Amino acid sequence: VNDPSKIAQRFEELRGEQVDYAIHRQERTFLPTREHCPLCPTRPGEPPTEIPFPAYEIVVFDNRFPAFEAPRGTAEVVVYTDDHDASFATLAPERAEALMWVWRQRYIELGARADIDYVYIFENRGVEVGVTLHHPHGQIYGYPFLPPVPKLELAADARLGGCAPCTLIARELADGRRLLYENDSVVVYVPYAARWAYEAHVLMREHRPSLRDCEPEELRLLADALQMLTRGYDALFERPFPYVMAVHQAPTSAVEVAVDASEHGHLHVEFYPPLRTADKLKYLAGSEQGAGTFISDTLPEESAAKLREAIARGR
Amino acid sequence: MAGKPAEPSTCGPVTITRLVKDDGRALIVYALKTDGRPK
Repeated sequence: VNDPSKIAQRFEELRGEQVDYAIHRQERTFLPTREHCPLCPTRPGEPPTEIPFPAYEIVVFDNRFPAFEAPRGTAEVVVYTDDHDASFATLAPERAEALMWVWRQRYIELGARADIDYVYIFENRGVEVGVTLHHPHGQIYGYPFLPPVPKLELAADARLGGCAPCTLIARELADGRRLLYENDSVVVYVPYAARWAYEAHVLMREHRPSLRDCEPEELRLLADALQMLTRGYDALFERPFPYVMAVHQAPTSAVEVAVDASEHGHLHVEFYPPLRTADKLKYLAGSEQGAGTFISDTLPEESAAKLREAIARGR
Repeated sequence: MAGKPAEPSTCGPVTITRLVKDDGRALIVYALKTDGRPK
């Protein structure tokens, strides 16, 4: 286990934000060949990997190179399958549904820890977003503070006078132009003010603060919607589509907010894909980094039309 | 692995088995229940 002294947070006064230093991560495994993949099963006669079994379904383990570590948070790796060449989109539906239960179990268990204020489940897919291992996996960070984005979402609740995602679903359903996919429990759309060309948000229809609050059928339908979207992404340019997948849920403590944060939040999953065409990336450049204002090259309504067609092709 | 795995528990369609790696890190194995559901 890593030396906790290598992990530290500093507060950047000008932006009013925490910066996490985890300098041991500089040495983490970087794009190994498939023969040296640490997330593949350990096969007889071969060197051990992170997972000491010849086959498995889903595993979660403490990150060998954590950005956060007890007693101030945690960092976990969630491996979706022992198939090196699979992806979230290609998982069997039963496996994707099981993954929702794994996420739920981790949210409940990590959220109960006194040192964790926010449980953040995410996936980085593709070298374009900085992935260092190709084997299909996601991560979970247990933040020892409430990060800025969930804090902004709580501020949106206050600004709109209630649950902001509930309001936004109603607006998107009424407008209809940016809708991508719906089932009985989940609505998927390109948001009205999308930052990324093919950004998509996946929201529970009913007000569910977290995975803990979902019915089993809702978890199944959440997996269905996520797979529909990610298959559509891969069909869009007929290539593996890079993205950041971010699961937003209620904070697990009331630290730093004036309200009981656990009462607030609306489970949704946001996708930030960096591609704006099949071979052009959107970069965070001067305006985005220096002024904090996204300049988009595409209209959300036009992107949604293309993505709807791709979802139909990807089914 | 260090020590014996804890007794399995369940969560929805998965069985949970907890282990500890030799370096002290936790490893949790989730297996789909084989109660007639397809894997």
